[in-house]
Amino acid sequence: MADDDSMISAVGIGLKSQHFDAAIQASKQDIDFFEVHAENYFNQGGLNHAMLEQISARFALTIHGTGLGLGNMCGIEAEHLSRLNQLVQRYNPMLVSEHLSFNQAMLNGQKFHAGDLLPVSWNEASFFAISDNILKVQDCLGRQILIENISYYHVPGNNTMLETDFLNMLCRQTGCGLLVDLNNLVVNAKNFSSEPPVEYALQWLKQINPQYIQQYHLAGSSNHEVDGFIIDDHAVAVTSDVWQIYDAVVRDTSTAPVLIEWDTEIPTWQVLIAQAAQAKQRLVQPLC
Amino acid sequence: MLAATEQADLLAAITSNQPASLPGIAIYQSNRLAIAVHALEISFPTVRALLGEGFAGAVQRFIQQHPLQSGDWGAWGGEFPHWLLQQTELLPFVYIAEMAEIDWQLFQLERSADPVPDPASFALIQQYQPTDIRFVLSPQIFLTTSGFPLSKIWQYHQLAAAPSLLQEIKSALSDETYHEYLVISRLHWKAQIHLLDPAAFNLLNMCRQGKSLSTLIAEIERLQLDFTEWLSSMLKFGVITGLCTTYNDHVHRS
Repeated sequence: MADDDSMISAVGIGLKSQHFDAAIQASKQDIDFFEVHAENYFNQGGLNHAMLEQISARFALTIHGTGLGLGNMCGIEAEHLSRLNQLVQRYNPMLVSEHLSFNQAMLNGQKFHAGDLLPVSWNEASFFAISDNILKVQDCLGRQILIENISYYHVPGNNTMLETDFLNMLCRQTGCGLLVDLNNLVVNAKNFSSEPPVEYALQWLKQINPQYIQQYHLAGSSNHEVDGFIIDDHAVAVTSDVWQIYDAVVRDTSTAPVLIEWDTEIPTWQVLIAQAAQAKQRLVQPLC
Repeated sequence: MLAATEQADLLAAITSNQPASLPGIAIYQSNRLAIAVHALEISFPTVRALLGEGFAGAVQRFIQQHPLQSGDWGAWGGEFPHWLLQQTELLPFVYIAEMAEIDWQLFQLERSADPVPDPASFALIQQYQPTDIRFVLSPQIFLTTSGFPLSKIWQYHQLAAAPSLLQEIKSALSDETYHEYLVISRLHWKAQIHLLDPAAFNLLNMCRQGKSLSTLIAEIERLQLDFTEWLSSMLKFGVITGLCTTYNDHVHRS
């Protein structure tokens, strides 16, 4: 267990426009950093940048991409990468991350965009294409990026390796790091595994080289079921399953920054701060 | 199967309007539609209010014909106004398509680079002849005219709009002679619609064409307008940002 403040993970929350005013006035005792979704700041000017300038003057930022398509076999969009680079240069965030997913493909000679995070195949061909994409992004940004494990509702049919092996190999090959979303592990376990979610996640984490993990996302899903699948809606507080995984692994073995992520049914600022406080509290004292 | 082919097949299944054949695909289909509806609710708030429950269905048909092509949902939807104009069921409500264009321009102006007024440039008036200087318009403006009460419809859907405005809108919609001249501009964060009289609108068009200050003054005198009042409005709205010379190489100092 961490017994020195310098060894305790930073705890942040995902910044939403509803909370701009509160974030500007936030106490550094409550929060260590804010995370923003890159594409929400692809505009050149406007209120959101004015707010973020003020917030970034007091707090560290992490920039989290949702649309780069690191897993695209057809490559990543140059314009999207250019805009991400502008944003990164403008705010110099503590961390830059993106999902390990694809979003574009050629259909009838035309590029189509899913606007969503689609699962990649875990095989050799995919590995080389994704490695190339990650290296291009890191070269452009001039820094390391983190890749996040996603939740998914479809498993590509030509996987030849485990997701964890695939992630470890990508980190080793490209020098990127990992952002591990604990809620995504829980959702995937519920949708695709017969194991209890906590056991599935702990086993998954054991297979990951801990040196690669540089950030965690904590979130909750509402257990809303569609067509037999639990939907990863990030619409509720961090669930007890996720806290259990956090207590078992993160608290004792990692000083990677931890983010409270809540993307739909956005709660009040006070609720988010309470979630962050709970994450901090659990770092030093397990709760029931 | 090649990984690229597999990705294309998955994307084709998700973007298809056919029922999903593979488990999980229906979730991606409905997720895509939900994100699309949410994106256009943000960029077309007035149209969302006008179409009500029909908005989601319209977006579902629109995205089939105009799929997302980049990763920025905020940049998607520029064709929506023209698409609305082509929908037969909306033919009696052409103003909805025109309102969509206004919504889109407002949204894009608020995403554009912040305006940079240049008050120091007004010193040029002391240095150059009126024939050699012209007004600089903000890049963040949009000029349009309409036979519909677009400014009132927009205003009605803002917070705290007066209920009596609805009667004015109904009246204007039934008035075949109704016409309005609009400039959309952004001085600070929020873009605004300003209703102009025809003469003031014409002067702005002349500015946009790069006409010199002397030409503008002559037109203002011909129309017997109050130049000071017009200019102060344009500055207040953030429409005019400064002065510049008409031909930097051929200016004549006074």
